[in-house]
Amino acid sequence: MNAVKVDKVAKTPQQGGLRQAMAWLHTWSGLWISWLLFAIFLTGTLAVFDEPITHWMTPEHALEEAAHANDPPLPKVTDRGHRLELALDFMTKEHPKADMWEIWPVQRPGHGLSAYWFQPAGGYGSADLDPLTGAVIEHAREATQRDTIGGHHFVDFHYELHAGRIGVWIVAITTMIMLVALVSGVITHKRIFKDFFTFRPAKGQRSWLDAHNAVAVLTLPFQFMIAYTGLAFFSDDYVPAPVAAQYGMDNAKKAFLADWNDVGKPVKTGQPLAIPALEPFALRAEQAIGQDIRAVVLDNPNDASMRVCMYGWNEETDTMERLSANTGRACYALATGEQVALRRPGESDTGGAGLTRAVMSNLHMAGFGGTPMRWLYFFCGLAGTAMMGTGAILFMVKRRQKSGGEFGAYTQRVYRIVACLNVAAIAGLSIACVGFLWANRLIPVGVEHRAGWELRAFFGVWFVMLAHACLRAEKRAWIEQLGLLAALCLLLPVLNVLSTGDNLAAQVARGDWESAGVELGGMAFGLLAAWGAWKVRQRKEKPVKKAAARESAAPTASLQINTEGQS
Amino acid sequence: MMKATHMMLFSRVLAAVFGGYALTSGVAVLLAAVLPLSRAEAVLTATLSAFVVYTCAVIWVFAVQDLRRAWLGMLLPAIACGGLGLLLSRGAA
Repeated sequence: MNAVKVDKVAKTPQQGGLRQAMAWLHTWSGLWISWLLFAIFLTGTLAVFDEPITHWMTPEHALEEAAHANDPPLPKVTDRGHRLELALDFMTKEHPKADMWEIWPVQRPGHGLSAYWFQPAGGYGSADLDPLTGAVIEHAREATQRDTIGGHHFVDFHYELHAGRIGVWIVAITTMIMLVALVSGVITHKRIFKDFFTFRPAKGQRSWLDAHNAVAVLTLPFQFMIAYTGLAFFSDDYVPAPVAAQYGMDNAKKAFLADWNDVGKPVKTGQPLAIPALEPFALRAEQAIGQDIRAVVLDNPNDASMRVCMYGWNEETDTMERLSANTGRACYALATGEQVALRRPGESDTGGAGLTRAVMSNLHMAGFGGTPMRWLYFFCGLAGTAMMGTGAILFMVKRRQKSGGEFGAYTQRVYRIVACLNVAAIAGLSIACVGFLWANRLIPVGVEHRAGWELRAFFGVWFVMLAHACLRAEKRAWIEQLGLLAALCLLLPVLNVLSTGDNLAAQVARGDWESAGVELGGMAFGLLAAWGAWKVRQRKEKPVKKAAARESAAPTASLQINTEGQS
Repeated sequence: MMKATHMMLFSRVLAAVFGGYALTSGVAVLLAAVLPLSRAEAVLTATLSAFVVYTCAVIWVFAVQDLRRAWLGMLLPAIACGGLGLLLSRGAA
């Protein structure tokens, strides 16, 4: 017997009680979050390659870059000392009252001379300066370049659903439930290794369960890691009680952050002090930390308490060697010229806890290990996505065989909603993701707030797919949506040829593997979707049996626990 | 009877979600107070550990047979840890 009444779990100790309770917890906690989790995982997986996707989505920029690829590098027009002076002049003139000046005096591809400061009203201000003259560079976007948020869309959606703080909280709660579903899933499985080596294809429910188990078990450590490190980013927001207990009820968070981030931050004295040349400090810092200088941060400019901190630049070798993404940092009190703080690359200046959080963040974002690690994350992310998808489908497949009658008279209606959400969340969201790429090419370049329209296209397509899934019979909805997904993915290179004239062969010929990778990856997904559509078409339709209809009339049996994971 | 079964399940879910969160907060307050680290580090360590506590708490609520025990198992330690943590805290509390 596969089902047990819930009141037995609540009251009666029995053989296998724990496993059945865990199976119930796994099924129901997993089901209700599986759609959202699928979305978070799929977009997170795509976010691994946000830069190549952005590259593909800015074709004018990419083509121009390719045209200039063989140009000799720009000569270093000014030395760093001079650029620092230019930036200091700009800040003295424009933002003398700001408490913090930050200067990036780097000359690297994509970087010139930038200045940042705290605005009185809160938040960062920024300006890009001409490294020769110090004049502000106005970034009037050229009319030929398309306005897009590019691959960053997937990053943002992945952690905040484009809904700001509320989105962050929704993702956090979902992640917390995922942790519970993972643990209860593991407890449910008696034979975790046997399950992993078991796959019985073409056996309906059995095959879905085997697939769910295989992808879950194979990547279990990754799934735990990615969920836990995801929660680590804002852990003090999610559990504010210790912050309040230690720092008092008023402004606890602010006091905590000050204690946390601003260790050694100087207090203004009110005595004026002229800003000395910063280049000698940059040279000393480079000696001390062994990295090139990326950012120069000046606290309390023109005050006797003035302090400058020099931040290093992580080279690729740094990201291969160290799990922590912290760069080197050296600080100097400008009144005395004394070195007041030193952090070597990969170390933390906020102790073991700070280092732990830095490593956790970096682990989550695959900030180490280079391209091979990104591919590993991509495939583990896909496995996680498949775990959510197969789990949600398994619920329906199982109940198509034999209804559990969990919702009494409403059971069939709830199943219908679950089936709609399955289609819309799995096929529909995938269509919205590739639709976002299509929107990038189809929305005219000159349209105002173009990036916003791309986003609207993403959500619009998703909504249309939800409506479609609700209006069509389940099997038809799967076939049509998977078919559409396959077409959109497989035609991505054609779309690119028609819209920009660039083609896959040319991309490969000029070594532009970022663009080619997006289109080849898209086609791989397209083949997968086409195969899926074909499989669903082959399937013999079995209507949901009303096996439990009689039982559900009897109120005591209306709520049942299904032991999904047990084999 | 059906109502009672539903209510018991509902109560168990509440015990897991809110009772579990109370216990998690209580343990975090205690950890932040007793860890031999600087104040900010102890607080951060406590918040980073909290998700282990929460996960285990939820699992336990669903594993335990007796519903009343599930509730007491959340709330009593939550009050004990939280209270002790507040007594020992270094801050303005």
